Amino acid sequence: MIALALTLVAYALATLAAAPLLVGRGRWRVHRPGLALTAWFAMFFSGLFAATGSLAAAVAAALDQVLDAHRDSDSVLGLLGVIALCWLGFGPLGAALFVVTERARPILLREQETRLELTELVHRLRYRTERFGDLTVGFLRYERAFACTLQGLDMDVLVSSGAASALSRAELAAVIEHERAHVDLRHGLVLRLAEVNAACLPRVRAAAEMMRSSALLVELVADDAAARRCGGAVAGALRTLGTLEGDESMLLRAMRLEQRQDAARHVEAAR
Amino acid sequence: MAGKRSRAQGELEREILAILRANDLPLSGKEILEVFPGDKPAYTTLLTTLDRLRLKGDVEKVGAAARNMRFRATRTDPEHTGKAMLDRLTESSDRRASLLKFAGSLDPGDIEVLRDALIPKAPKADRNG
Ligand SMILES: [Zn+2]
Repeated sequence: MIALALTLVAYALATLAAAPLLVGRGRWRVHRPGLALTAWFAMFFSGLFAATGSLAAAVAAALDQVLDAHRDSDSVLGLLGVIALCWLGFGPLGAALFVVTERARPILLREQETRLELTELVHRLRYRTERFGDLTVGFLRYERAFACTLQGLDMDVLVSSGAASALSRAELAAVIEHERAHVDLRHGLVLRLAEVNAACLPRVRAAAEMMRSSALLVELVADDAAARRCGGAVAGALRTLGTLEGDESMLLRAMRLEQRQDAARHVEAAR
Repeated sequence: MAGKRSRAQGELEREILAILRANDLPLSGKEILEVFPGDKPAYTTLLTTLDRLRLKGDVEKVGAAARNMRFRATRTDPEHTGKAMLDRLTESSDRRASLLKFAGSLDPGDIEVLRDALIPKAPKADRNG
């Protein structure tokens, strides 16, 4: 039992150390963002599971010892020992839960504020609503090129007039597909998890790094999902909006998609 | 004529709104044209645009008769306050967790990562290879 507890602890620590090394760096993530995100999640949850499991195993092992020691003597003392051990063992778990809740609270609160503000904005600035498949898209009067999705609004996707007028119809559809990927793949949850994780481990650089890279990875995953449905229009939309907003990251994302298309064409031609 | 036509619809709307907002009194179409900066749009274009702005709720008509019809910007400017809010939101730090933006949610570190992964295989080298 002790061996199991130790193994699980070792695994939990290993994932803590390895996750940022594997997922937090390297060019491969830019080319396989979905894999990177999945790997991170697998490590994160299995590590969490292992940490909890090790605690349970340690408590079980200690209980065993206490019960053994008191088998022949006074059973009340044995019972007290068991109770004390349970408290000692699960105390850290309770403390950890408390920390997580406390750190998560302001993040969730801010998110709720943002949602309220956006709802207000939808009321003030919306000039058109359109259905794109199963998504409701609200168009806001706002010169800057802008598109977003946020849970809890009566719109699934918001697009600014600045973006809508700069984009061709195909490019607009590509932007909406990109947003759809965020909705379908629950990227809001991914980012929230990364942020809570970083808030709970304020001194751990790996956690901060993870939060940063998760923001990049969800964008790339959504780009890829949109490109599968809309092809070159995604790169076109990124280029148009990136130029308009002077945003280098969007131009780079366009470049990434174009490089992939080129590569795919090479493979096709080689056949 | 061609030059005037090619002016973006949105741009024309913005200029007209700016003129109306700068004036406390309602203006007629002719008066708007008089103070129009730069290339003046055709009168009919102006009226069409004013009508569009009216439908959007940005402009209201004053006076019933066609001859002395005047326009003014709707007094409450929800658009302006809305934009200020949106400006603040897009700059706020919580966008990472809540606002998933198509535009501009990545920080300089991310840009570095992207550049690093993409630029070494410059498009030229790729095509020659
Ligand atoms: Zn996005």
